Amino acid sequence: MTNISFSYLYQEFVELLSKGDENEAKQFLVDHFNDLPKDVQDDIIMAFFEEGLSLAAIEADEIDKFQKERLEEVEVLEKIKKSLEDKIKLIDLKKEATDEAKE
Amino acid sequence: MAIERIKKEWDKNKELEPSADPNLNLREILADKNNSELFGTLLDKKNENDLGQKLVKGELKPEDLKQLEGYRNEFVKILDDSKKVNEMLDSRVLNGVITRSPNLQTLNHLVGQDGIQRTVAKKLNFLAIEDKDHFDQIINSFERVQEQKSAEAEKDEEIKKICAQYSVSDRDLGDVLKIDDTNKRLIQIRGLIKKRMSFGGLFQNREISRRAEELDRRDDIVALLAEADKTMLSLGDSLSLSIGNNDEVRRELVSFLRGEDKSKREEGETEMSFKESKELYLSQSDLEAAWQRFVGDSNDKELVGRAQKNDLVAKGELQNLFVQNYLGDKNKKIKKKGFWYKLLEAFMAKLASGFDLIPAEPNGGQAKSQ
Repeated sequence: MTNISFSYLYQEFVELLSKGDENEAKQFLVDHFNDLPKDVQDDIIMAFFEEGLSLAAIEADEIDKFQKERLEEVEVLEKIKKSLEDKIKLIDLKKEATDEAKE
Repeated sequence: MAIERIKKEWDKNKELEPSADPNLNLREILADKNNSELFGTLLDKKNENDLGQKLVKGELKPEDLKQLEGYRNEFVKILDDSKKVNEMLDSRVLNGVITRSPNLQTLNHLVGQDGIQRTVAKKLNFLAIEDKDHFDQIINSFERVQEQKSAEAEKDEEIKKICAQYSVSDRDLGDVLKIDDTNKRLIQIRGLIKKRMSFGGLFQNREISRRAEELDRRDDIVALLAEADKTMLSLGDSLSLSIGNNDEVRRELVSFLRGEDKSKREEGETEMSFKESKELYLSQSDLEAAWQRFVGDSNDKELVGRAQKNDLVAKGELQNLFVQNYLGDKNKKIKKKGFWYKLLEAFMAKLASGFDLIPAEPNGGQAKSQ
């Protein structure tokens, strides 16, 4: 912690809240991290951590859902492809049999 | 009671893993300083203030230990939760979280991953006692991330196999990722995602399936098979964006999947937004005036009296009550404390810890504020 007074930092912080720029307010917390008391530093770490964890959890859910859905579609499509290939094989066999009968 | 004080004491101790051995007896549990402080917080929650203070001050008598034994089972459960937290905070999950937040990345440079891990573990251990619902929510998020990370390698392999089978090319993505300028790179990534996600999904599959039933001419079937291959290539194209080797692409994919509005809140969530926080803060002088009013109007004369006699524990408790009441009153509609609520609470609590109390008058009343 440096010797910038906490009441000065508090005032700066609430002025940024009043200004309404969220990114700037977050940047202030990071820029002045070392000027803040240990217990406030801990709260900042925890708040950013929870924010990151929440994003990571949302991402995990979205990616999981997306992959499951698309992999299911792959499975369905593979079955369709297999049935088309079987159909072609059957047509070819029938044609072969007809040709042989003609001969 | 002395939550703040306990936390300060905790900070002095670097060993943060409480022992969760259920076979330990109470005396052994309390021999560990960290456990003892956590136990103090539990007693605070149970309104066992006297017992808690004796524990903090190390003034426990044999009969107190008997009384504490009553809370032992509950406490062992809390220690189990703590153990779970420490296990969950492994470097893989921690890294995954840190990469989601550029600000956390900066803090990581300042305090290191160990520092973040220690702080989060400490906070969570107290949260398990102070706000179990919130603690459970965090654990649930951890579990979701952990589960996804565990299944990631297997799924990635499956997707890579499909991509190889249908010759999905990553050349265009590779070219985009080489762009140095972050903004330009992100624009290109978003464009690529939009292009690759144009696949019609199950509708397209159903259409191919319907036509597959109807067709009987060989040429038509071969043409449909080629179309199915093309669809499979599209599926591989989109799936390849989701594999775990590029966080930036995955993040943008998630944004795309969730819609354009990145700030979109989860349904039912009533967390205080940044804009709403604007209505809560007070200047230092207004906060101090609100503090003096709070003390003057408090019904807990016993607590105020102790605080006025410079009992630091009582003063700390009164200050916490003040901040919680002030923010709570202003936020009746808010169910979930969010990022800005918590930080305002932290800043206000710290500022309030420096406020003086008007000393009690000799007749027991309170002197009038100037």
